[in-house]
Amino acid sequence: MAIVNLKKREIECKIVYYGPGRCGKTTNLEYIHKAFKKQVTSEMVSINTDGDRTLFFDFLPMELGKLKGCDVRVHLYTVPGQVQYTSTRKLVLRGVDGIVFVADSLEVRREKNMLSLKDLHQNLKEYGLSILKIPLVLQFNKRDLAKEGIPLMSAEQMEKDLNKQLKVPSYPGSAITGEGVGKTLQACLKLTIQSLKKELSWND
Amino acid sequence: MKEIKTLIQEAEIYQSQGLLQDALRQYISASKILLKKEQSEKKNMLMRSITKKIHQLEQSLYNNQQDLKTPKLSKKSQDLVKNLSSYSKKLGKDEALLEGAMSLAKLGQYKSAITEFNKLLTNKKLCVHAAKNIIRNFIALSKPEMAVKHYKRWIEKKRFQNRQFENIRLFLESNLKNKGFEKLLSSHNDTIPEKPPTSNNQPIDDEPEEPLDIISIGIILENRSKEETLELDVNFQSGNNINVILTSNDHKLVEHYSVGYKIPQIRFFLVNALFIGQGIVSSFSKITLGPKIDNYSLDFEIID
Ligand SMILES: Nc1nc2c(ncn2[C@@H]2O[C@H](COP(=O)(O)OP(=O)(O)O)[C@@H](O)[C@H]2O)c(=O)[nH]1
Ligand SMILES: [Mg+2]
Repeated sequence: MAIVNLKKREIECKIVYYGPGRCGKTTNLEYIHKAFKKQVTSEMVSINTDGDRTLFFDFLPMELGKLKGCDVRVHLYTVPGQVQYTSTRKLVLRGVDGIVFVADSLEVRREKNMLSLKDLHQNLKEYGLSILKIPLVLQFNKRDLAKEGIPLMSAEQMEKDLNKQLKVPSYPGSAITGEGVGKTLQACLKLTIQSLKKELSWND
Repeated sequence: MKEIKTLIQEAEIYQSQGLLQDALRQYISASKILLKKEQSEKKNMLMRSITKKIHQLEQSLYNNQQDLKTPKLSKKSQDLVKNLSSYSKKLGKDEALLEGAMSLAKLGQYKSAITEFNKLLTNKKLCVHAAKNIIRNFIALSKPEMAVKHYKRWIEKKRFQNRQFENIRLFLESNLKNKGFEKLLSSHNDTIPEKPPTSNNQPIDDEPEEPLDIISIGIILENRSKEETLELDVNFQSGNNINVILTSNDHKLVEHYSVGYKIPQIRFFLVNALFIGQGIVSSFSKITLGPKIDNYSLDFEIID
């Protein structure tokens, strides 16, 4: 549900980083904010409670190239992962145009990934959106932890768990080192813009 | 010993990731293995340090739990909720304000909602709506006396025109009665000003048609041998859209509801009338935040 502002010749769209608590959503946005400074046009708002959790969401619009003479402005959001905040998660998804699902590669987080994806599916449904149709990419985060000798899931395993039906692009990455972070966002933006063009019947 | 060392290393990494449960589990496994080992000074030292870790983690987990039980939205977060709510619709400033206020009220943040509704009292189109919501929120906060106090203050300040005052007063009265607080009003019976408070008696031209104010509803439960109803106070009304809060016991009676479900028979109690209609569920979910936590929020649209 992108907003087209013909007066300002601007299209606003919204991308949400979704995933279980502590999978690295905030770290992704922090990296983007640092690494793509030139494109970032606003401050990053991040809210933490005492328990060092993101209570709310982070906000970070950035400018892209033009689409039919209009600037594309992207709002990036993360959602809090804790179950307690389901209503907030749902609220953040309102009006979403594209989603990056960040999965945690730690083996101990396997079930949490799957539950979170299910939760996403359900929340989208409540807005009348289909997880099979919305622009979506997966990121298998924390790959850097492999060298710490901690049990990680293989990419194949994660594909099987999360992407068997979705069949969307997926990228290994590390939000800490920045590996794969830009790629993931680029891929999501590409899908989102494609879908916007279709939605606005602006096929070239 | 190697096994224990690995477990401790993993626990440390999990802890650094903020994965406290997972860290705790590794430390507990480590301590279990350690227990089976022969007595030694080294074992005792390690045991002490692991036990300390376990205590610390348990404490942190407990503290986080407590934080979550009373999640207060900071000022900043509340502002963000407001912006977020009006994000996807292009609304006028005041309409956006109204929607933001409603979202706050839905999250049970009644006090902040009242502050927002207060800002709308100067808007000719929305002022009556705002006033009614202020009343509703005070009643939701179990502070009916504050609702009356505000109403009196509006009269002093001549906030509204006579017709609007009557409308609001009727609304206040019905809400108080519904809660058994009608006494609160009796002393203010003569407080509606006789003359229009505005000296230049301009007609209220751009005032929209007021929707019917619904004070409470009775959902007539299906498939019962004799008629049973679920009586609920209206938490929110915006035109034909109604929001009610259900306790978990109420929820059991209607747990088959889902988005799009048609509620076949509802009694709507208005200020001074009753009508029967139907509703389409637009949202039904457990409240996971704020003072109404663990209750359920049901939104539906009235249909003819
Ligand atoms: N080693 C490693 N740690 C990460 C990575 N991404 C996030 N983290 C850590 O995981 C923890 C949770 O990350 P955060 O971004 O707050 O997760 P969120 O709850 O999804 O926002 C933090 O301690 C991060 O430093 C990663 O790719 N590699
Ligand atoms: Mg976060």
